Amino acid sequence: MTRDEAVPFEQLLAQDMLYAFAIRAFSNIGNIQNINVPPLPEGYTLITADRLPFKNELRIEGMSLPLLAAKKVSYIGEVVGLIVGPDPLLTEELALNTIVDCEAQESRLDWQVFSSSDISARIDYSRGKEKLSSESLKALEAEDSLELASYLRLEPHEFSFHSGLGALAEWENGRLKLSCPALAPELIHSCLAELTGLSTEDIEILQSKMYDNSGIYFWYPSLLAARSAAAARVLGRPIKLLISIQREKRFLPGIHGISLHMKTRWSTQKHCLMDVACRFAIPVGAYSVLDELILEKTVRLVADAMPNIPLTIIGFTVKTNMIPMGALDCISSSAIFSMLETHIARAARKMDVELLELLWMTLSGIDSSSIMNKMPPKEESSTEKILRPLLEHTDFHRKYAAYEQIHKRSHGAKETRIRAISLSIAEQSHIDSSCISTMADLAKIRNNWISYKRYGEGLPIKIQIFSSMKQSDVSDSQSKSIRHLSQGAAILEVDYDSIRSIFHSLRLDISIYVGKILCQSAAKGAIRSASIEALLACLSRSIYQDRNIDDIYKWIFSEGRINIELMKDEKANFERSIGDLAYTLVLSCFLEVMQQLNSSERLILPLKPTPTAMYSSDLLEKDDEH
Amino acid sequence: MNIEFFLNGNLQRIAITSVQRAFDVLVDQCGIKSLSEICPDSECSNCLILYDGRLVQSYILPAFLLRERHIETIENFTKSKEYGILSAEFDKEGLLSCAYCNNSLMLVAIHLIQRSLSPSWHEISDILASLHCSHIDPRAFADALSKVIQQLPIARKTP
Amino acid sequence: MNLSEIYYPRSIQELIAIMARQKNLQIVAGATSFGYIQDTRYLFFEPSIASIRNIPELKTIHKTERMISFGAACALNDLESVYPFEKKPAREVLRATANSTVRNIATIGGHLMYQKRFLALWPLLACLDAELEFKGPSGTSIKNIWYLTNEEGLPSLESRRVLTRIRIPLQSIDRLFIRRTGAEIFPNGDGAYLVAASTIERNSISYFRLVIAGQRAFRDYDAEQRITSSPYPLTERVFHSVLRMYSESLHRTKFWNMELFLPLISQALEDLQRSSVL
Repeated sequence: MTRDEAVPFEQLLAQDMLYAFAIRAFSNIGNIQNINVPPLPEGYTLITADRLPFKNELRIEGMSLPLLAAKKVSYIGEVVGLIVGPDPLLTEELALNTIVDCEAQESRLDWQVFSSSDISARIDYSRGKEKLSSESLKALEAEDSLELASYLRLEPHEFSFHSGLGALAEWENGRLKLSCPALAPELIHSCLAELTGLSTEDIEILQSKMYDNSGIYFWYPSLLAARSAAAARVLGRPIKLLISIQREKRFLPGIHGISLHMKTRWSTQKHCLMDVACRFAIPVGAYSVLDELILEKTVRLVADAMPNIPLTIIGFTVKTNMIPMGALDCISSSAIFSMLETHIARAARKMDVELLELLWMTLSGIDSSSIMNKMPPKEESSTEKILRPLLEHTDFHRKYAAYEQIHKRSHGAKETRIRAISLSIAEQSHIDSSCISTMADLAKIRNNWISYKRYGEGLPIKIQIFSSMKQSDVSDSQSKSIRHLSQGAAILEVDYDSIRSIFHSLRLDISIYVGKILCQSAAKGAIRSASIEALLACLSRSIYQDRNIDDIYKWIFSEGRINIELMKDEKANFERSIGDLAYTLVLSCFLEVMQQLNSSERLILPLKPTPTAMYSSDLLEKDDEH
Repeated sequence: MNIEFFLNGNLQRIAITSVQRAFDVLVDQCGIKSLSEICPDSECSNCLILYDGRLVQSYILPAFLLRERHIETIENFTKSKEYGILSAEFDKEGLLSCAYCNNSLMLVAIHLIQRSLSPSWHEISDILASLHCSHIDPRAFADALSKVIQQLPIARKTP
Repeated sequence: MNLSEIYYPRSIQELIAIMARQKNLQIVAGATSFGYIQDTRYLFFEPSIASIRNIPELKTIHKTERMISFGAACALNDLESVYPFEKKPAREVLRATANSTVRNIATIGGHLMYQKRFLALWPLLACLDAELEFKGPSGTSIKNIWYLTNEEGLPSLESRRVLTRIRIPLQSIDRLFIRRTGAEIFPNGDGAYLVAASTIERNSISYFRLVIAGQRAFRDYDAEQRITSSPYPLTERVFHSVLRMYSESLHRTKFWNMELFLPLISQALEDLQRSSVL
């Protein structure tokens, strides 16, 4: 390995290199009884936990997971050993043909109903109510109020990634050289330093060429690097650990799901949001990687998004016998924010208030009438700059009013085609940009110098985060300035075929404030990609349950229209991260559209629930005329 | 067993077994660099080749089906006028921003302009959908393609 | 790794001669039975393979006044512009079988001879009374497509014979009603297609077929006979009588997921009543 221009991982080679593939337990979980390896030709070796030269424990942020499962398999697909050999195809076949026998143990997969012993972390957050006196609370209770409740479930799903997966390790004179696709090489540094006992100066990491910044490249490469380094140490030769993506993809860490209940209470007199109560659970798999961090980030982001509202959040991370989650993409805050926007839309409908006015007032926390009245504002905010042209060219106001009128007028009449339109606005602070803010958090926690490159949107953005202060000393303003907020808005219009239970057409208009634009096509490509990811997640079971993903893509290409506008800031000197924002906007719009269709009684056949993204407003709802 | 086939206009004689996939043979034995296996869902079509003039995924094709066929990869076209015009137009429209899919995208484009003077929207979206690249704006791709098709007759006459 | 012996017959006669000699011969044209399904690095086949892509008779499309026939090794994309796939609903089903690059290599023969279940085009061709030509060491035979099912409606394929041609009588079909339901079709989901084809002539229904196929195939000849020759549009009495017949036969054959298919059959009959023509 040499320090040259970054090379794609599959082209990396080293002299005398051997290939390694993982042996996985496919059949069941429980105590390992036997590993049945086929006869190994000369030059091929089996490495199990007992042969590891280091402790069989990789520590990542206070949580440890084994390099190789030693006595017990905790989830289907857990790695119990490595087959190493000179020919990659034969090595892979030998690994695939190795059978791991475990005593069958019942899997704990359900993460929506769980007992306290399954909880790996919990967070309780409450704000706002403690400032009110008991008389004020009673007055609040007595006031005419509207309560809305709903439930959302997002299933865990796989990461998309395009830069390969694996690690090449070589020991030379007591120093370790590693090369792998990774977004956080310093995390690999610190984990392997702790594992091997080497100092960080004795560990050299060369990043291979990256084509994307998928979350799978955050902590998982550390585990792969550790396995590869251990095998290289045992055999005394460079080892290239390969992941057969097609065969092993379903056993790789994924994006965690969420089970979320939300209740909001609205004042029908003042037309404002009075309080929000959230309860959510996140499955983190067999090893609770970064569980506390996910909960803290989720709560912090949600609390920031609703600065003036009394808020109660209870969050859990639940251990299950599933693959450990990638736990980096903060889908939980996206889900909570999207659900809140759906509640705002429902409340606007029920209180007969203009949607934009209520959206603006609730999210910005100010009683602003500039967005809804005809007087031009004194100074247009950046969100208004994005919103006005979007509203105009999609003709949102007219369509929204027209569809609502049709809905009210033909209440109960069955229709073959139903149209719905929804709007979402969001700021990056309401959700998260996984890598950047997590690195900021880790910097706070670790008191270290950290630098990394982020290959976001096809462009390298180098950010250096220095933290020599203790965790408690880091101020909110500093952490916000590190986050470089983006803003965006989206409008989704759908045409739903009620007989065939499919969406006939779909138009998504999305406008995002991106700061400095270095490459417009790359930025648009990133937004488009995130939007399609979100649409896929939502649509995958709306259009013919379990339909092949090819069909959904085909449908989006031929029947869908995605229009993307980028607004740039001439004064900015860096580009902002936008993928997560686009995902949230689309998710929010889609949930609102589903809500409109679900609450409509115009459907001829019932709307099929989408297990990937399930949304229900049947629970605990009062004052609902439907 | 030994088989013969044409790869990018050159006759290839290679030894294969029944268990091999066309992708592995083309990459490992024939030295093709433009194909990629790094696809998470085995449907990304970054292993696309032209098999007797049809776009086919080489990863699901057994190697023994290569016998006596004409196989083309993007390497065959990089010096052609069509490729030059296409890549300039795509670059101008920002369609080559996804480094991961560029080879397949160019192969699809070359195939479409060779097959038809005016590929329909359905043809284009049908083929693009098998690429699975969510970065590409299919309508921008279709517009760029039609511009190139208009430029081609003149370009072909120019030495 | 089990290596297989590979044959490249150049004619059907040569293929039959190989079939007579080799007991475990796997016929390969496209990749239907293994392309997506086998995810191991190495592909696994029977001890002998016959690649039939070089047999010209299996790739031709012939049309006469009364019928169209295509070779079993025709790729699915080759059929897009021929009957019946020139009609929009049928073409949509063809396109839904797989993405474009797969359809360039997967063949109609592989599609129909898939062992685990009935794939998307099967019910459509069954509605059109397709006939299949088989050849083998014992000779040639032509059978109706229903020959590929057993009494329980499950796929039943004959060994030691190769499907060579598919023949479809040319007829004027006024309506094609196609609905897909359930989960994935390929490679072994529990999805299914319901296809209904009908022709109206001089205010009576001259042709009606309704086929459901997925894991199992279903058809009620008596109900079809009841509809055929009925005046068009169907009277309410006939409509309900036919629906009852379907309900009873679904129940009698213990066809899976009756609650799902009966409303779909009802929709098919309602569609028949409407005036839109292909």
